[in-house]
Amino acid sequence: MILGGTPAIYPLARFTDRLAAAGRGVVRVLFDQPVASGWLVTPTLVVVNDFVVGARRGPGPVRCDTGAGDPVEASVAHLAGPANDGRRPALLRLERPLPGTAPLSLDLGTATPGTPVVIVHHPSGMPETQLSLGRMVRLDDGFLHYDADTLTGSSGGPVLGTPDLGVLAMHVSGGPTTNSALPLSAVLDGLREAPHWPEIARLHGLADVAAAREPVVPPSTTPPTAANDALVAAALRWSVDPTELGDADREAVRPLVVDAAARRWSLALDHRQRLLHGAGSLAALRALRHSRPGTEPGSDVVDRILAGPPYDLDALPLDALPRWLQAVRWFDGTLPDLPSPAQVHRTLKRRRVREDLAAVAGPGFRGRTAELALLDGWFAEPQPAPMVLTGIGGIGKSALVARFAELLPPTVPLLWLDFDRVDLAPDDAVSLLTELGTQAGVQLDGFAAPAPDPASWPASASACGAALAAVAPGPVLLVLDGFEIAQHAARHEEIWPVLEGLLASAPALRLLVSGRAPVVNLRLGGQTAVTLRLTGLDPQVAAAWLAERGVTDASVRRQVVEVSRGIPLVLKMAMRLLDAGGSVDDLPSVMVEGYLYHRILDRVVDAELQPVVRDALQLRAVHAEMLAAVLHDRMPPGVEPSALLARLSRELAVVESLDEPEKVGPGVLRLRPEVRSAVLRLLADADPSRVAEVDGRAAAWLAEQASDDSADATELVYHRLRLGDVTGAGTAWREGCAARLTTAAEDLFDPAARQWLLDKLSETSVRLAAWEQDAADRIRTANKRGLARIVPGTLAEHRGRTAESPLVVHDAWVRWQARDPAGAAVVLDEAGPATGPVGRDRTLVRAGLAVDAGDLTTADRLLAGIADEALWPDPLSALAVQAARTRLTVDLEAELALAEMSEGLWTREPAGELVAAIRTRVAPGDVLLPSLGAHVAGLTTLPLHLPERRDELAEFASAVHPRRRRLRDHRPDDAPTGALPMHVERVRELADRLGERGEQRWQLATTTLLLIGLRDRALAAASAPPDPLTLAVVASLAAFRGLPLTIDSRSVRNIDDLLGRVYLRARAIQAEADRSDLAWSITAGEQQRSGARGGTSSPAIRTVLLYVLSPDPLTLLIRRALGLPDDERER
Amino acid sequence: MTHPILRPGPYPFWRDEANLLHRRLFERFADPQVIARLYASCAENLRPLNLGQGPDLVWQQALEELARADLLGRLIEVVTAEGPLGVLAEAIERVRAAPPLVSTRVVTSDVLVLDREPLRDQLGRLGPDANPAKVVLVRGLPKSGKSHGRYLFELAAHDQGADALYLSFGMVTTVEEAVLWLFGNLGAGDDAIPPGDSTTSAWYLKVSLALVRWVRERGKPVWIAVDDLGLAPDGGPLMDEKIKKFFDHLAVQLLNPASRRWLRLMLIHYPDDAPPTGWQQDLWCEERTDEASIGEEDVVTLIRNWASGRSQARMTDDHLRDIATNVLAAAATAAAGPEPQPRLPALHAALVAKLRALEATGS
Repeated sequence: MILGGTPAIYPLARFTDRLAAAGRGVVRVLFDQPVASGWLVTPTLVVVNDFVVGARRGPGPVRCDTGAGDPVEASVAHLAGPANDGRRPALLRLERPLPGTAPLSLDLGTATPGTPVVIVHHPSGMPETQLSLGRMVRLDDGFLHYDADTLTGSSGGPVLGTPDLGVLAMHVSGGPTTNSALPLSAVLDGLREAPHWPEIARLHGLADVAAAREPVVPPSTTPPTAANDALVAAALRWSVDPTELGDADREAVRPLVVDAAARRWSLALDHRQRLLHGAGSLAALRALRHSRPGTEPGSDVVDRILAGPPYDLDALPLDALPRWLQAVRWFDGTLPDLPSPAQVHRTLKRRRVREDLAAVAGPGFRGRTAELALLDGWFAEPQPAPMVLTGIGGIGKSALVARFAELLPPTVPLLWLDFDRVDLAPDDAVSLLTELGTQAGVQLDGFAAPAPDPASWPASASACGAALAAVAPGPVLLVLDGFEIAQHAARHEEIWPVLEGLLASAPALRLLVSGRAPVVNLRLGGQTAVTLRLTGLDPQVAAAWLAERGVTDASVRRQVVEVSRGIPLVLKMAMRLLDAGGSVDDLPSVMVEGYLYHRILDRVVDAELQPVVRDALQLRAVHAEMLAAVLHDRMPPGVEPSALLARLSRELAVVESLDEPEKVGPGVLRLRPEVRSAVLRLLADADPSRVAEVDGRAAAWLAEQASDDSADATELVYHRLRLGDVTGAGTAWREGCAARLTTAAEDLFDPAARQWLLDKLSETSVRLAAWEQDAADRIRTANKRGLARIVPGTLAEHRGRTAESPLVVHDAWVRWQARDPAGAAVVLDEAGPATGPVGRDRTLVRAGLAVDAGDLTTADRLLAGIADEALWPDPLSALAVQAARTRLTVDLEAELALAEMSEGLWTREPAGELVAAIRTRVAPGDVLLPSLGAHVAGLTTLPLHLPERRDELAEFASAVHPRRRRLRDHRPDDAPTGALPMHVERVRELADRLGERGEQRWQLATTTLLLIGLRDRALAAASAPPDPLTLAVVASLAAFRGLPLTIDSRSVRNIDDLLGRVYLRARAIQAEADRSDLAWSITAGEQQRSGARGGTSSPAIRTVLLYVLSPDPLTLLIRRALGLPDDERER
Repeated sequence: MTHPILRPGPYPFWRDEANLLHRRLFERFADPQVIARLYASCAENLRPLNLGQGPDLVWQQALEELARADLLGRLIEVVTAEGPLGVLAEAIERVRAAPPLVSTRVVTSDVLVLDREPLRDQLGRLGPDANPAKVVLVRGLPKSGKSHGRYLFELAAHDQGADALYLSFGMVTTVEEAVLWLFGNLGAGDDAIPPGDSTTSAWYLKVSLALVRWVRERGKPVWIAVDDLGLAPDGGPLMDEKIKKFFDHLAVQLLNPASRRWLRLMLIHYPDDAPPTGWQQDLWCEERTDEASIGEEDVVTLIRNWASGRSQARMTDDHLRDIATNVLAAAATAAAGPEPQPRLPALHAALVAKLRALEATGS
């Protein structure tokens, strides 16, 4: 049993070696008689107390020996001064080294009260070197006080720290309760004054601390204001080539640059500002610039600034403004009429609203006259319905909208939400309103909308609309571009209410939605949207466009227009083909290939995979065997199917993440449906025979599997339908197929097959299951992005739930978070059990609710039911279930209460009633707190070996349980014979509870592989910072710290040692320990109760803190099951 | 945190421990046939070694191949099973115990990094490909040490065998310049940059993909630190906000496992607003700097760290504390002087001066 926190257990052989070495460094100092001790700091220099040689304790020469005779004569080499008060050491120089001696090593660390110390000395002049043991008591008045025994003659004996036995201090004098020693730092300060210091410093590698203690005068961190011309000239340039500078100038500039390792040097802003400010005047800067002009890009901006006001930002080229944004900052306060950075920024943003449209529309924008006229008419209506512009990718939707907006009067405010942007999402109202507010703010003077509030965004939307209407009463164009992204992911929960809110307060808003897919049944502001389907350019316009680009042959133009169907992107591809010398006959395949590579396959990072992805897009889901069977002729040579699958799994532009293997099955990749839908028609147009070949191979392979798996059956139905084989699809149809085929009809180009599937899908239950799956996906995505607030809305889209609904856990969670745990439990109980991961997650949440309600028995029973590793995607999650069960057996609150109530009782003799009540109920292994564990008697303190394998469990159990039973059997009959004081009853109650929990804990430890798993994870976590779930799991090992379990590892001894190391790796826990009141009270309480030393430097305390401050495994499992991040970051 | 030597990537010949292991290996196993046998025991289908060269070169090739395949740990197991290893055992122990560079405090004699334990920890966890966190946001008040963290980022990159780039105010002014700068510093020509023939966001996506593909073909990951992405105290942005938006898009690429191996981002002086809505919560972590965070213990730790690499620089803890007090007092004086200096730069300057003074005494 480790008592008091820090284990004081040392390797015997090493300690005895060091002790022997310590003995060789201590000498006896003699005049005519032995008078003191001393120690060797070099082979011939002996450190003694000043009063030993200063007061001349006897006649004759001073000599030293080891107590074994043959003293060697010595001379006083150094004596600091007349004080002789023991505060300065003296040095003796031996005539020659004493045989068998060696200098002592130094202990440079800090001794803390309680540290074991050893003094090696010659008390009373004894010839034989003596040893006294004690502990450091305190440090005050420049002396280290300790409680090892000394006598006259001990003075000068080295006080050594444990376990390395280096010199920590030098004994000076004895006292009634403690002895005093001069600390090593004071000894060294004294020795530093000696002429022999260099010899000592060299031997021990000591620094010249005297020099280091000299006050430091740091150089100023600000550059000189009166700088030379070279520095100011550099400050007027965007960057300089250091090789163009003279040596002196280069060295002067070097400390002022951002990155001296860069090829070109740029001055750091604060240095630049200071140099320019210090130049004195604009005239001085101009003169300097004239003599040293800049030639690098952007020099014109600097020259323009130096030319002086007026500065008309609207007259400057747009692409110069980003340079102005930075350059005006250089002259901050130097040129008073210069615009501020904020003014430049606002101008830049405002001008970009319109001038960037030209880039989107493209310089060669042609035609679309009818569409533009239609949009003009729509815009001119007094209160038009929303306009939806749809068309395939590359048809020119964004270009048309940009051109339309560009042609509007400059007074019309333009608001443009591009859903390709990473900072905008239609399911995140805050992102929408923030961007709208920013865009309105730069275009409309006086626009002021409050910052959107995540908790009340509907009100924010209304406020934004009102602010808009206040400053822009006329028409305002709001464009939602790239809306298909939101549609594909079905993530548009918040945008429609936001738009309703805006339109309600700003009815002049014109809403234009642009996307590949139609927005069905869109109704806003009380009006149903009108749709404009964009097709290819008018043939004449397309031909003219080609002619402008040098396609002089009318027949070629005609052919290109016909094949391209006037699609602008394809026209551009055709131009590239022709420019590269290609033939128009190749255009059909170029069109498909070009589109595929331009829009789809180009996003595949691993270029070698592009051919296989091209065909794989025909499959909805793929695994290694299927790859080999269906796409063998596209696989890169020499690559195994499993390796290919692994490489494919990383290409998230075309496949879905594997982080939810339960959705599609382990080892199965799902191709992204929105990507597939964009290319299937093109593939069919470009190479119908290849398409049929792939579908045929897939169907044949799936049919051979003869599986009852509805997932395989679904894919077989799908590929047969793709081949137009309705009969075959009917044969393969199984229950469960429909839920997986809800969006498949759009992939079917055979009308009969398509209709057959639509008929099959018309049943209500199928629609509900499909919606549930889709909603569960959306909820997980929202949770991952910190948008949990939208989950209730998603759940409310449909009230019904299927028996296997993945939404039930979310229903329960939402209620739980709304402080309705009883309602959450009802949801789960009414839904009943389910199979697979759905059932597992329901149980998990139910267990969490049971814990919340204090029903630990139910929680444990539920968790025990899902502890099987086969139920989990990885072994760590399964181990986390057992860790969660372990945590249910720990009651730290009861331990703290018991420790507090029993404080001061343990040392009474004989043990009182309370002590007996505790000791007969609680075993050391039942408690976490070191102070409590140290006092609880009953079990042996002999180490138990932590089991390595399952077959050692029985032996382990036989070592643990009999002792517990013995404890229980010997419990005295302490049933109350009358009214007991309340605190006695309370102590018994707490002790009973801890004993029962301890029993459960050790049952778990001796019947499962829990301890082995925890140990292995902890060993790994001790060498690398653990992730949150690993940390949560590993910290549970602390529950078993009460028994002396040894761990068979190279350097780890026991649980405290192991978890103490994990603690050092878990920096977030350490930081939390510094902040947490609970951590402080545990540490302080433990120190007070047990006199434990070292606070958080004690492995035992670290173990407890790790347990207390680590995440709860059950909470993490629940959060992960719901797709929530491990911590509670919320947008 | 991945081990700084026993991890996939180039064999770190720039580290003493790795060099020592190489030397001890060719001293202990000099027969090319034995080297080939040990090498082949590490895994199947390894590229064959050129055995017609000296043992040092054979081992060099073997170590490079095994490091790339993340098999150095396996090599140590194989070699250890060969029986008594003599001084090779000590070299193996040194490799095993090699501290990560990111724990360094004295980067150069002019660049010291005190404290920053949370950042060191985060950067250590940024390395493993499997960890979804690939972006570090650094936020804090002016002069609180935000930019200084880039030195740790560079060290962490080197721990992983990656290159590091640093971009800040003054180095580029537009997003186009930033993209040119990135590709240029990675050795790519202008033609590697996709043309901007669509919307800005679409171009960001294309450039991000092209960048990842280029880095991948180059075969060495790159860690990119971008500074000054937020607002100046006057409320205006330091750099054109399109630069920030581009890196916001590039960060999303790191959700893709095919890209995530090749890039890491440190976005310094990142605005206090919520990160882009398209970022998953586990993609990023955050460091908040604090001007007042450095105390005596941090200075003591740094000086001790500095002293540990020197032959005559040992000091007692009491002496270390004296010096730390001295340095902190000097910094406080400078911060309160007639020309007040920010605390952290003043502290850094005082500490650099103190270490120089110690060095001048022969320490």
